Amino acid sequence: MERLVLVAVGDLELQWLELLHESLPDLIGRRCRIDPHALEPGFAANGPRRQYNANLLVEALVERVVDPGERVLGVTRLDLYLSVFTFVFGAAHLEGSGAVVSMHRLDPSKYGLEPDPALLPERLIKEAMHECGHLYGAVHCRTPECVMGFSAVVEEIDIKSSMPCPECARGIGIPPGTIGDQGA
Amino acid sequence: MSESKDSTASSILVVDDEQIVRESLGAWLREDGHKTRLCADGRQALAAARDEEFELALVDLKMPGMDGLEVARRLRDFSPRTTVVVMTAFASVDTAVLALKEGAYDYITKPFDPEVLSHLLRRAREERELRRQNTGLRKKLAAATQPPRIQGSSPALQRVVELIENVAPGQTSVLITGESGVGKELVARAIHAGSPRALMPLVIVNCGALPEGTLESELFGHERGAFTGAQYRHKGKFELADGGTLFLDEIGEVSHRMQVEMLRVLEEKRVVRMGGHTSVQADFRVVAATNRDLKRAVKEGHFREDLYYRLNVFHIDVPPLRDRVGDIEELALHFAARLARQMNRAVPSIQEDAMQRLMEYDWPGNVRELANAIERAMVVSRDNLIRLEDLPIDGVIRRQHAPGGRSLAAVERDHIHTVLDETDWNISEAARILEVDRGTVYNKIRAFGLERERTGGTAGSGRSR
Repeated sequence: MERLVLVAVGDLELQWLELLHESLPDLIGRRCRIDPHALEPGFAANGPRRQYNANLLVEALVERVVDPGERVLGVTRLDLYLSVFTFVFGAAHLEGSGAVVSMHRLDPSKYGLEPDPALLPERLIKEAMHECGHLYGAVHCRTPECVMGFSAVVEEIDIKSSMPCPECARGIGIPPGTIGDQGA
Repeated sequence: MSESKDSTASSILVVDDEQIVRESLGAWLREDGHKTRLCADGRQALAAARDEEFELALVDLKMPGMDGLEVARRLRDFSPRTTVVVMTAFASVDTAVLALKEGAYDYITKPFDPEVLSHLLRRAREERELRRQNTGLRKKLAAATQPPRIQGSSPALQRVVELIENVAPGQTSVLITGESGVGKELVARAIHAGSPRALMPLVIVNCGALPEGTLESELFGHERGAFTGAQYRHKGKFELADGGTLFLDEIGEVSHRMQVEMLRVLEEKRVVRMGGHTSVQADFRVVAATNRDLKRAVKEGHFREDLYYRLNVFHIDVPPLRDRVGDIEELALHFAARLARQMNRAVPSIQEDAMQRLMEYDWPGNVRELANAIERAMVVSRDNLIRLEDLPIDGVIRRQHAPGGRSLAAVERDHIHTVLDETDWNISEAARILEVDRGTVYNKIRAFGLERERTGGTAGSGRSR
């Protein structure tokens, strides 16, 4: 059975995993479970950059897979990077088993703005959905508002919806009627 | 689903000696929907570029062996359509300038912000699209300015082609003569297309089709309020032809007063719009055509001698089709092929006896009549074969059917009058039946002094039905 496993990477309040556990099944058309054991991220730390290597984290998350139908999504408050990029909101193995999403740059307070209790969870759901899309084979989409659109800056996340466009939904393999009206 | 799904996807070559860099960059580019090829050094990259043409190459500057500048240089030489972007960990003005000198489109400093890469990819894509459009437009422009092909290999026609080639590159005024339907306009187009003015407009005026007042306004333009109904300033054909060629068709039909006005403009190359006071410069080359014997018209006082010599600096006479029977088969096959393309059907064959009939026919309407005959035959033909009975010239070999004892002009006059009566003087309909253009019908009406019977019944004197 296809299932998405949610794993905390480093210190993370359980409420964020519970939020995704509640939201993602409707969006991706697969069941979810929360892995009670967090991943210790120290091995992926880059001291001088004060960031964590997203690729190394994804590789470690893939090792959590116990069932061929499972895919793993790590969730973290850490700031992530890839070797060529200054930062990333998340990373995934395309059509692979592991992905990670970071809340670090999704938080309005990171940019000196007032905390917004609604905005952070909304952004997290969208970016988690985006990385899940990659796990299930979707590439970046140029359709405005599709969740598979690439967001270079955080404001672009706010523009898009939490749902894939019909074409991406077909590619991800979301059964017809799975997507409800839970827009952005 | 990981296949790219839109036209913005590119094929991208990533060249970097650091495995972690090329793999993470390759993974991100694949997530972005692009097709990637990852190479660890310049040698591998050049081999890959020989295998396939990449739209974009992201090349690391510092690599052991062949460095990024060398890779950029070599890619520019043998894969010029690949946009090269150099990646460097140590950006400096020197390296940036060097990279751009070696043909790189841009450079990017590692590690880069995702937005910078995304923006760069978009710009590179837009630049490629502009280059592609530019190439396409150049091809279209070259095709549009290509001199039209004049079909026919008879010596008479080849002589015409030779004359066109001789006169086209200059500025000389040309007078084209020939019967209606021989292709005088095609000759004018070929002269324009072969001239340095080819990229500027070719403005065509059918002087015979317009009443004098209208022709004057068409040629000279008018200012607002110049006459009743002149609500706006209107540029005339002389002005519109500025930089290009003005083709005055049926110049022999122009009134005496207009001939004077035209001569003045042709000599001064300045135009005063109707109702205007100031003159406007207009640089155009003039090519004129007529199916009349202008020399005779000059002798008879119908055409101004000075205008005749102004127009007839170089003379091309296009022979009638009956004088170049050798071209008929080639032309018939050419029209059949062209019409087949237009009708989206297979090119028909022409049965031997049908072709024989085409060769024997007199073609008073010349090439235009032949084209119409082939079109009509293709409409009614079956099995993609044009048969004798499909031809609209069935049983009428005109050179054998001239009524004895009457002049050709008399027969022509009667026939035109008959057709006009039958069509209730609908000029377009009459022109279609006669297989000539409307201007020619007007000319014939004027030349033969034909008049419409107002009371019905039989028409004017000397006409037999």
